Amino acid sequence: MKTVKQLVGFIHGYWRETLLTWAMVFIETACEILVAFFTQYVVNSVRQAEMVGQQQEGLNNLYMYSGIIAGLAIVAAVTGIAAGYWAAASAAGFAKNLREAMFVKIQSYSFKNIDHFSTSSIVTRTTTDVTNVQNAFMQIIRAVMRAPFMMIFATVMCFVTAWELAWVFLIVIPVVLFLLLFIAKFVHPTFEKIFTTYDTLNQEVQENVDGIRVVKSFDREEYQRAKFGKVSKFIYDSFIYVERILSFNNPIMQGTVFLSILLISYFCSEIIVSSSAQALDVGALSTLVSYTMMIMMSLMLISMVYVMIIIARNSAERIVEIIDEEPDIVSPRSDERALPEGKISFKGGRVYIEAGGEKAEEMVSVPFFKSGTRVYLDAPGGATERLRAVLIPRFYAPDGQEIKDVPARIEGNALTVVYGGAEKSLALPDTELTAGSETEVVLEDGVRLRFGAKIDKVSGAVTTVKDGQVDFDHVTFEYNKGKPVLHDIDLHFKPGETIGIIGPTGSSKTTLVSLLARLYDVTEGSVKVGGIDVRDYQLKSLRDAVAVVLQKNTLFSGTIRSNLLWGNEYAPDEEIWRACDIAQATPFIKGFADGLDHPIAEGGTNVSGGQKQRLCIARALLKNPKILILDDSTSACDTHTDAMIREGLANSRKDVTKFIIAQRVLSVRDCDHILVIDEGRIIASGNNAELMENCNVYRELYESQLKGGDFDAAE
Amino acid sequence: MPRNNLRSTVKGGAMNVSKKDRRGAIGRLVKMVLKDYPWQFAFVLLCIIFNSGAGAVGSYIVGTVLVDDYISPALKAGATTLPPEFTIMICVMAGVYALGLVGGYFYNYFMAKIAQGVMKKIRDDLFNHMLALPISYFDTRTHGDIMSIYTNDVDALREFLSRALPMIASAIATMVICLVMMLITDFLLTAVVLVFAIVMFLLTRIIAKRSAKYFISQQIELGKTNGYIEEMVTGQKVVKVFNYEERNIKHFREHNDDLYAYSVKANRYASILMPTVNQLGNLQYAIIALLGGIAIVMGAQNGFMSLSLTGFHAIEVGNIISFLMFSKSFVQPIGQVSQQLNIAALALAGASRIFAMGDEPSETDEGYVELCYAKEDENGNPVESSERTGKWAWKHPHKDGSPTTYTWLRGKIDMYDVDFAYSNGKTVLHDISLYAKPGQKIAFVGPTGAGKTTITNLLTRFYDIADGKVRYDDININKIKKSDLRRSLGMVLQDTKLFTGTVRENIRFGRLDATDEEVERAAKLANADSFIQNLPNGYDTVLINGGASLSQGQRQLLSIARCAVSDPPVMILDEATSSIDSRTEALVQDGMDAIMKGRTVFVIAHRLSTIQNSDVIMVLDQGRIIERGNHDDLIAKKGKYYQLYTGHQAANT
Repeated sequence: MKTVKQLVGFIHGYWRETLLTWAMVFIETACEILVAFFTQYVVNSVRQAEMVGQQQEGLNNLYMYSGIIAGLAIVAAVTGIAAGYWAAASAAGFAKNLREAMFVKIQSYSFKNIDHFSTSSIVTRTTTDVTNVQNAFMQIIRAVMRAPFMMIFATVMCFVTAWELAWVFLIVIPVVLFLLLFIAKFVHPTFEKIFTTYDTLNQEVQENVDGIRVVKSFDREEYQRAKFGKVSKFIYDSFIYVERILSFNNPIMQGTVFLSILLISYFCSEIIVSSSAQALDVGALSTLVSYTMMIMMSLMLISMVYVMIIIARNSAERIVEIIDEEPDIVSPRSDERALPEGKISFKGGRVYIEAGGEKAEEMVSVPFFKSGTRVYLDAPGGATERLRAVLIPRFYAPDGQEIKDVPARIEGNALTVVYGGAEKSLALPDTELTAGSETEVVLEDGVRLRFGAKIDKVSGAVTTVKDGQVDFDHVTFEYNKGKPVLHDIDLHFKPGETIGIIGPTGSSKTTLVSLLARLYDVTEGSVKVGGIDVRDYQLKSLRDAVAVVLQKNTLFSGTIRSNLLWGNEYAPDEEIWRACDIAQATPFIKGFADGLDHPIAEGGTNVSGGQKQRLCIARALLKNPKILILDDSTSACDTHTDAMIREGLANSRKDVTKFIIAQRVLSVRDCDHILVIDEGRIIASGNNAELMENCNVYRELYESQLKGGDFDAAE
Repeated sequence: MPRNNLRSTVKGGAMNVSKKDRRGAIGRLVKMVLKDYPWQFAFVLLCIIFNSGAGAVGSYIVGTVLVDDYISPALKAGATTLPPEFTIMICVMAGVYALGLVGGYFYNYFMAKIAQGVMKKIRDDLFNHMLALPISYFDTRTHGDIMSIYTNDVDALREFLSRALPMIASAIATMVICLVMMLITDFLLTAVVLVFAIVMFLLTRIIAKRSAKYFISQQIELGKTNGYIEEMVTGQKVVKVFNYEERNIKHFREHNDDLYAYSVKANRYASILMPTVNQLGNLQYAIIALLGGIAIVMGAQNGFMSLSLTGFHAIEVGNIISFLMFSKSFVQPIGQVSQQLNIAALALAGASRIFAMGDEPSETDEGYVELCYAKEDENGNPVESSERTGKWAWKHPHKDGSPTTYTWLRGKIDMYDVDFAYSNGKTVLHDISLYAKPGQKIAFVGPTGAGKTTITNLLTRFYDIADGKVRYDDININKIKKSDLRRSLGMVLQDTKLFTGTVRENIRFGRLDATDEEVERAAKLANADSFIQNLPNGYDTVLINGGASLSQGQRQLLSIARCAVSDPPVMILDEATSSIDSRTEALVQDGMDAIMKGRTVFVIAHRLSTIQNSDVIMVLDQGRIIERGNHDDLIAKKGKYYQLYTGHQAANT
C-alpha cells in the first residue's frame, strides 16, 4: 500500500491529463450505458410500428430513438478517443518521472550502494521493471474508472428498466466476481513459477551457447538435452495444470451471460404478457441483455486489473527500493554568502583577496575552463570559514568582438589560451579586480581579457586540495560488519612520491586506494589527502584531485574524444594530445584515419585491451589530478609500453603522487616505496633493494617473473 | 497473462522477415498441429462450433421464437398468460447453452494443451538441434542473436498460439455462424451489416498498421534510453570517479524526453481503435433498427416481403430483435481480431526465424572408427573390453568385410602440410606440419591471430582442414567418429565455462560415471580440493551464473579437475592460466603438471615461463610456423623466440 502511495506521487506534472482521462472515461461510459438504455425504446418502437394504427407514430419514435443512439455513439467515440489521448500522455509522463527519479537517485549512489544492488539488478529495475509498471499504469488508469462506473451505472439502469428483475444481478455480480478473482489468485502463483522456470530454461540455453565448445569436446550433447528436456517438461506440465483451471474463465463469463439471458427471457416474458406490455415491453429484453454484457465486461476488467496489479507489484516494489535507498557517502554541508565589496589582486602568480576586514592569499592554479563560465579561487587548507574569489573571464578581440568559448588555463601568472586555432602561452599581468564590477586587462597579443569578479564567504566542505600528501592514520576497513579487510594501516607519503602496491588477488590492494577518493568510508581511523580528512572535502573537489584508473575500467559509446573529455569537458585538443602522449596512446590514435573522432563502441569493445587501458589513463590525466591511482591499469600493455607510461608520468607529473597497483614486479620495481600486501595487512614495505634483501615473498615473485619474458606482441 | 507484450524489439520485429517466410511458417505450424494432434484438433473445431453456435441459437430463440411465436401473439390476443410450450422452449434454450458451455471449456482446455504441446516440441527440437550444429554456427553469430530466438521469438510464438490463435479461431466461428443466421433472417439487412463490417475491418487494419509503425519508433527510442541507462549504470563507478553525475543526468533527460514524446504518440494512435470500432457497432445498431422498423411498416402497409435463405417471408419484431443480436455478435470480434493480427505477424516472423535455425544443417560425421576400452591379450595387442580398464583402443571396422582391427590409443598426432581458412576466405594456416610423439608436450607461442587456437580447432574437428592431412595414432582423423575423437582430447580453455549445478556435477561433467571418490581424487590432483572444502557446502555447493561467485583461478582449477576426471590421453591447454595472478598460477600450474604426466599435451600460453620445459616449441606468426625446437635450441638460434624470451625486442606496437 505504501508502495502504491509512493507511486501515485510520480503522476506529478501529469495530474491534468490524468483527471481529464477520467472525466472522458466517465462521459464515454455514461453514453454507452445510455445507448443500451435507449435500445429498448428502439425495439419497442419497432413493435409499435408493427401494430395496426400506430405505425406512423412508431416510425416517428423509431427515427427519434435511432437518432439519439447515433448521437450518443458519436459522443462516446469522441470522448473515448480523447480519453486515450490523455491517458497516453499521463502514462508516458508517469514512466518518465519514474525513470528520472531512479536515474537521478542512482547518480547519488556511493560504491557501497551500487555493490548493494549489483549492477545488473539496477539495470533490470530501471528498464524492464519501469516498462512493466508503465504498461500496467496505462491499462489501469482507464480501467480503474471504467469498470466501477460501468458496473454501478449498469446495475442502476437495470433497476430503472425493470426493478422486478434486477435482483438477478445482485446475486450474479458478487458470485462471478468472486469466482474470477479466485481463479486469478489461484492461477497466478503457478504462472510466477512458470516464468521463473522460463528464466531457468533461458539460462540453460545461454550456458550451452556460451559453453558449446565444452559440451562438444566432452561429447555431452545428450546429457545436456536430457537436462533441458526436464525443465522444458516442467513448464509444459505446469501450463497444463494451470490451463485446467484457467479454462473455466471463459465458460464462467459466458455461462453468466447465458444464465442471465435465460432468467430475463423467462421472467420478462411473464411480466410483459401479464401486464399486456404496460409494465415492460419486449425492448426491455434486449436492454437487459446488453446490461448483462456490460456488467460482465466490467467484471472481466476488474479481474484483469487485479492480475495486472499482482504482476506489476513486484516491479513496483523493486523500483521503490531504488528510490528509497539513501546514498551513504555525501559531501559535508557547506554555505556560501556573497560579500558586497572587496578586492582581488593578482601579483606574481599569487592571488590576494581582501574583503570584510579579512585577507587571504593563495597560489593560482586553475585547470582548463571555458571563458564565460565561473572560475573559483578557493583557499586550500582546513579553514572552515574562508574567502573565495569567483571570476568570470571573457576574451575580446582587439576590435571589441567577443571571442566565445575559449578554453583557458591559469598556472601562477602563466595563462594558456586556445583561440584562432592555436594554443598560446601568455603572461597574466599583475592586476587588481574589484568585486561586483568588471576589469579589463590587455594581453601581450592585443586581446583583451575582461574579468567579472565576486567574493564569497564560504564555510563547511573544503573545496580545494592543496597537494598530493597522503596519510593513512591507523585505518581499518570492513565491507561487512565484523569482517575487516584492512587492518590498522598506517602510511604517510609526501607529494610527488610513487608508491607501488603488490600482492595476490583478494589482498585488498584496490580497497586501500579506493579510500583515497572516498569511494568507501573507513571503518576506523582516517584517511587524509593534502593534510585534510577526505570526509571534510566536497566530493567533487576531492574526486577531481584524486584520479582513479579503475581495474574494471570501461569506455563509453561515442568517440575517443568524447571519452577523454570525461576528464575535463573543456580540455582543448592540444591538452588531450599531451595526456595521450604520456599514456602512450598517441601512436595508435594517430593510426586511425579519424584520430580523436574514431568511434568507440559501448564498453570500448572495439579497441584492444591495451589500447583501452591507455585511453583510460589519458582520461584520468586530463583531470590534472594531484593524486593518480593506477589499479592494475597496464596489465594488457606489453612491458615496453608499460615502462614508457611510467617514465612519462615520472617526467611530466612530478608533483603528482602516484599509486601503482600491479601484478608484474617490473611495474613497481622503480617506485619510491613498494608495499607488499596480503590479506589486508602490509607485510613488507621499502624500495626494491630493501625488499629483495628482507622480503622472501617479494624476492620469490621477482625471480619467478623475471626469469622468463612475457610474450606480448598482441598489439 | 501477457508478460512483456511489447517486447517487439526492433531486431525481433516483423519487419525484416518476408511475407513469404511468414506464410511458410504458418504452413509448417499447421502441419505440426495436424500431425501430432489430428483428433484433438478436430475436437477443438467441433467445440468451437458448439460454443459459438449456442450463442447464436440462443439469440434466435429469444427473438424469432419467444417474441414472435409466443409473446407477440399473446399480446395480440390479449392473453395474460403464456402457453406451457413457452417454458419448454426456455428449457430447450437452457440445454443449448449448457452444450455451448461444455464446448467452451473443452475448446479452451484442448487448445491450450495443443499450444503447449507444440511449444514444447518446438523448444525441445530447437535445443536438440542447436547442440548438433557445428561450432562455426556459434562463431559466426553473436550469442545475443541466438538467445533472442529463445527469449523473444519463442515467447512471441507462445503468446500467439496460446492467446491470439484461440481468440481468432473463436471469432471466425462466431462470425460465420452469425452470418448464416443473419442470412436466414434477411438478405438486405445482412448486406448493410456486411458493408459496416468491411468498413470497420479496413479501418482497424489501417489504424493498427499505422500505430504499429509508431510503436516501432517507440521501441527504438526505448531501446536507446534503456541502452543509455544500461551503459551508464554498468559504468557507474567510472561515473563517480569522474564526477560525471550532472552531465550524465543532462544526457539522460534528453533521452527520457524523446522517449516520452514517442511513447505518447504511439499510444495515442493505438487508443483510437477500440472506441471507434465499438461506436461504429452502436451506429450500425441504430441503422439496422431503423431499417428493420421501416421494413415492418412497409410489410404491413404495402405487403413488402423480406427475402432470406428461407425464401420470402414477412418480417416481424422478433426477427429484428434476433437480427440485432446477430449483427452485434458479428461485428464485435473485428476489433479484437485486428489487434491480434499484429501479434500474429510478430509471432510468425519469430516462427520463421525459429524454423530457419531448425533448417541449419547439423554437424556431419562420416567417421566410423570408435574409441573403446581395451585390455591386453597375450601378445600385447588390444582386445575390446566392456569394462573400464583405464586403457583405450581405436576400433577400426573395415568396409571390405575383413575383421575389425584394434589399435592402442597412444596420443601420437601428426599434421602434414595443413592449410586452413575460415569461411570468409582468408587463409589462416599455411603448410602446418607437426609431429607429436605420445607423451610429448608441444607448445605454441605467437601473437594474437597467429593461428594457435585454430590448430587446436582442427584437432578437435570443430573445423575441417582445407588441405593436408591430420593423423591420430596413424588414423586419418576424418575416419574417427567426432564424439569419440573429442572424448579422447581433454580441453582446458582460457575462459572457463561452468554450468549451473553443484561443484560435483561440474567436475563429473568430464565423465558421467565417475564415482564421488573419483571426482574428489581428480579435484585433489588439480589442487582444487582445498578451496572446494572451504565452500559453504563443499562439493555440493550449487554454482550459478557460470560460477560467478568463484574467482577466475578457482573456476580454472575446477575446469582442470573436470578435465582430469575424464582422464584423456591427449590434452589441449589454451591460455589456461593467462588471466590468473602469479601466485594462483603456481597453484594451477602444479595441478596441471600433475595431470599432464604421461599424456600428449598441446599448450598455448603467452607467459613463456609456462612452456619452457616443453619438448617442442613452435613459434607461429601469421599462420606459419616460423621456428621450432626446444627451449635451448631456440635460445641458441637467437631468432624470434630468443628476442621474446630475453625481451630484446623492438617495441612491437
